[in-house]
Amino acid sequence: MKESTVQLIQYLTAALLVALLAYHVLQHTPVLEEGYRVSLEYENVVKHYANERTVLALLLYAALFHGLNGLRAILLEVLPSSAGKAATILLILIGIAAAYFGTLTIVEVA
Amino acid sequence: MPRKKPKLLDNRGGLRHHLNPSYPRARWTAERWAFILHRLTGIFLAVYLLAHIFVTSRVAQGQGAWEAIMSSIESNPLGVVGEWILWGVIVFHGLNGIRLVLAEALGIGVGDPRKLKVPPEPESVYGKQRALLWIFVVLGFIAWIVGGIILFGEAGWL
Amino acid sequence: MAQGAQRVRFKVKRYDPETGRVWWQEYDVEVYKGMTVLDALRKIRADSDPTLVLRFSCRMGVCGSCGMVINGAPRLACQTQVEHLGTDMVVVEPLPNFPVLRDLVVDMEDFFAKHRLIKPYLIRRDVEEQENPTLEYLMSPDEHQLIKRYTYCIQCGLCVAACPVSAIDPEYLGPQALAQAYRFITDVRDEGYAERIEVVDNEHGCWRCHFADSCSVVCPKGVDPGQAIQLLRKTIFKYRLRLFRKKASPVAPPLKAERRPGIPEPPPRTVQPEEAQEA
Repeated sequence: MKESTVQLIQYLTAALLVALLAYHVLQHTPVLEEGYRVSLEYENVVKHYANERTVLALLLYAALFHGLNGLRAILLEVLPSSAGKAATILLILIGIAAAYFGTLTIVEVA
Repeated sequence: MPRKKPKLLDNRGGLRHHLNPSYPRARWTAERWAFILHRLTGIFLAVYLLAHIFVTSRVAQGQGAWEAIMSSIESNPLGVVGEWILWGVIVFHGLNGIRLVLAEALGIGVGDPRKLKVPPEPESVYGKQRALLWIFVVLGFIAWIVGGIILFGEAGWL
Repeated sequence: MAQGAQRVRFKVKRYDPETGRVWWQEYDVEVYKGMTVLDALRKIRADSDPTLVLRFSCRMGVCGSCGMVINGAPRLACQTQVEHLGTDMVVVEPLPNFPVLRDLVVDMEDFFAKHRLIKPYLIRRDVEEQENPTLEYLMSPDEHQLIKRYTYCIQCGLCVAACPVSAIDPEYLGPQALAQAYRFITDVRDEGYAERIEVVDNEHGCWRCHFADSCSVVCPKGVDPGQAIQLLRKTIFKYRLRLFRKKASPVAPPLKAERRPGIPEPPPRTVQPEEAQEA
């Protein structure tokens, strides 16, 4: 993949995350819920998972790409070229594993 | 005879310069502070994201598992302070990220290359992105304090 | 200075490649009004220590060879007056992010190699026109204004010395090369944008910039590489999304103006060209 494509996705996920995370955070504040602690009680959390599967999945994939690609950018700078490639592969594997794990949670709870 | 190559001294700044917000002591650069904080908060958030995916997976294991891990955070004062710090980190990274997407991807706020002062001054430093940074610093600080009031209020500290 | 000469202490970081020794050496210099750091260093060489090695040429901020770190910031020694620094101790070091050859002289081979990578010359699709140009390429003053700022670059290397990414990534192209890439991509006389974008759009190219803007702040010519790199990325995104339309200027048309009606012919020449050649 061209580096510009990666970076374009990085900026697109950034814009997406600003919107989705604002919503995700507001869900746990008195603005959209009764309160922070109340929103984290088991029944409420399960309710969130059931109602917003798509939003949560989108959030998961966007955040994983954005976060791990951000780490990759740092590693590319800090590490020499050859190690940078290895780091990329390692981060892709971590990303796939975390995406699988997160998807499993969403599917199981919902 | 080929010229003997002199032994060079490696003088790369390394992480010492990379993470030093006051390194080029020419003029104070808010963007360099923002860059370093953006990078550090980014690493923090990436690690937190993986931890968050792990913690929330407890919901799938039933009410008992979820309440056990939640109470371990709620009962610990460090957990509440940690949540507050996390909120600050999210606010900074998000708001500064908006500025960066505008400046880096869309070229907004970095100044007009055609504007030339004599002697020439860096337009990007005085561009609108610098003003946006200060607006976001103020907004972010307010959001952080409000988040703190909600968090500490519910923890019964206020 | 009116009340006697003022003495300023210069602390210079030195390096001897033969022994590999690095040390700080201090000199006291009598400074006068308007004395630059370069003047002071030359005075040290003339009066007290001829072994101090530094590089300079024009002494007026045009050649870009006397870049060094003065009191913690990369500056041109010839454009920095000791008085303006306002300190009793002036600390002088070689530019970081460059290998040091000796004392204050750094090796800029890698820096120039990166500059060459982005093809810093006009490229035309018409190869014949490029190799054997007939006339100049057209450019309006407005179009010139778009790149004028970036053409001021004197390749002194101060931006690379200030860059936080160049500090950790030796392969990063650096603010200077990237700003010049943008300068040629936006130049209306140039058509080589696709080649340059391929050079710049890689893992150690323009995406490693994080807009810390240190390069723009230290640039002695106000080139503003920080701005150039952000606009370069915007251009690359446009190009990749096929929204980029390059405006390439034509070759200047040959001059064949016709005389307007009513304007009289000029009087005959007093000296004919053939006669002038003979004389």
